[in-house]
Amino acid sequence: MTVTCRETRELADPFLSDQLLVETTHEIVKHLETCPGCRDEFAARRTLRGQLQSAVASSRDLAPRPDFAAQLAANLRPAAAAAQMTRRAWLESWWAAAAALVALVGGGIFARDAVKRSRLATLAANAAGDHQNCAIKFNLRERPIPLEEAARRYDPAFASLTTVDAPTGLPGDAMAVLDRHSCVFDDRRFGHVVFRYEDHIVSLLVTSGSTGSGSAPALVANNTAYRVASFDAGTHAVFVVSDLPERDVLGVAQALAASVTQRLTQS
Amino acid sequence: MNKAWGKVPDQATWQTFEGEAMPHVDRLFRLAMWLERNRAEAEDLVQETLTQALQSFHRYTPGTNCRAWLITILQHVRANRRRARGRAPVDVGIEERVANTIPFVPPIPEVLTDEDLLAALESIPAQYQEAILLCDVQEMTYKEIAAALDIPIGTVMSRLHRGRELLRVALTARGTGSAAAGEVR
Repeated sequence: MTVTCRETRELADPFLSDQLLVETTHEIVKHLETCPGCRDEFAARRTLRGQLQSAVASSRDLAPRPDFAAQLAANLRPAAAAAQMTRRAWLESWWAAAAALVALVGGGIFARDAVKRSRLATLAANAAGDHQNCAIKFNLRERPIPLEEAARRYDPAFASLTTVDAPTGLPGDAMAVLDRHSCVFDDRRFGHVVFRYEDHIVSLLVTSGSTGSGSAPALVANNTAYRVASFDAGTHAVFVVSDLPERDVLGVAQALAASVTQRLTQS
Repeated sequence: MNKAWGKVPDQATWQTFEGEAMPHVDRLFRLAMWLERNRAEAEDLVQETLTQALQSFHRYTPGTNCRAWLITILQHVRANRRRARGRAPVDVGIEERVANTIPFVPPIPEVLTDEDLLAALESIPAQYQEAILLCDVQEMTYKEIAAALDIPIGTVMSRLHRGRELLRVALTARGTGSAAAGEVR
C-alpha cells in the first residue's frame, strides 16, 4: 500500500498522537521520507502542539496558587480527613475553643510537613519521568545537551557530574557509565548520568533544590514501574531511578552518595 | 471543600496516592481553570476530584496513566455539577454545522505568541477546546479521552480533526492581525 499526500495529511494527527497501527505508521514514515511538503506540514503541526503544551504550562492565568497543592495535601491526608469527619462533634463540645487553639498551632507544622512531602513527591515523579522518557524511551521534547554546556548556561554544578564514575564494590556485574548529559523533563532541568547495572538502566539525576529528606539516601517512591531513592547534596536534590529491586536502587544510591555529595558541595 | 468522608483512607494508601496522584495537581488545576474560567470553582473542582480519587484509589491500576484516570474523575465531577446546577447541555449539533463550514484549512502561521495561541484556542467551541487540550496538552490517548468525556472514540477523532481545523483558521486570522499590527509599527 502506498499512501498519497492527502491520506498522509488526514492521518497526521493520529500519527503525531501515536494512535495508528504499526503498519500504517510505517507507510506514513515511508511517505514522509520522500515528500518534503508533508514533512513540513507534520513538523509545523508538531511544533504547534509543543507550543500549545508550553503555553498552557507557563500561563500565569491558569497557574494554581503557590500553596494550593500543599493545602490540598493537608486537607486530604488521613489525619485531616478524620479531623474533618469529627469536626461537628468538636464544635459542639465546650472544649471547642481549646481545640481550635491546638489546631492552630499544630496546623502550621502540619502544613509545613505537607509542603515538604508534596515537593519531594513532585521532584521524585519528575526524576522518574525523566528516566523513563530520556534513558529508556528517548522521547524528550527538548534535545539533551552536554553537561559542560549546561554548566555554562544553567548551573555550574552540572560540570561536577562529568567526573562521576560508576561505583565499584556492588554485588553482581560491574556497573558502567553509558551516557552523561543534561536534559529537561516537565520544565525541570537535570544533570543526568546513565548507568548499566545487572542488565538494567539506572539513572543518576541531579537538579537544583532540596527534597527535604536529608543527606542519607532513602527510598522515596516505589511503584510497579520504578524505584526512586533520593538524598540532598548541598543545594541540590539527587535521585537514583531504576526498575531494579528497591534494595539494589538504595544500594546504588548509597554507593554514589559520598562522591556525588562531595562534588556537588565543592562546585 | 467540606465534603464528608465515607471512609478514611489508611496511611499506606495515602502515601501511595501522594506519590502517584499529587504530582498531577498543577496540570489538573490548569485544565480545571481553563474549563471553569474561575479560580474558586477550579480549586473546588480539583479538591473534589482528588477527594473522590483518594476514596476510589483501590480502583486505580498501578502502572497505568494516573493523570488520565484523574482527568476522567474530574470530567465526571464537573458533569455532575453542571447537571445539579441545571446548566444547559453543550450544543452537540454544532459539530454537524461546523463540519460543513470549513472550506479551506490554511497553513499554520510561522510566528505565534503563546497569547495568540491561547486566545485562538479560546475562540473555538468548548467541546473542541476540550478535545485538543486532553489530547495535545494532557497527552491522553483517544481511548482515554473517550472514557473521560463519555463519548464514542469516533466522536473524539472527529472533534480533534474539526477542532484543529478551526484552530488553524483562528490562528491565521490572529497571525494576519499581528503581522498587520507589526507593519503599522
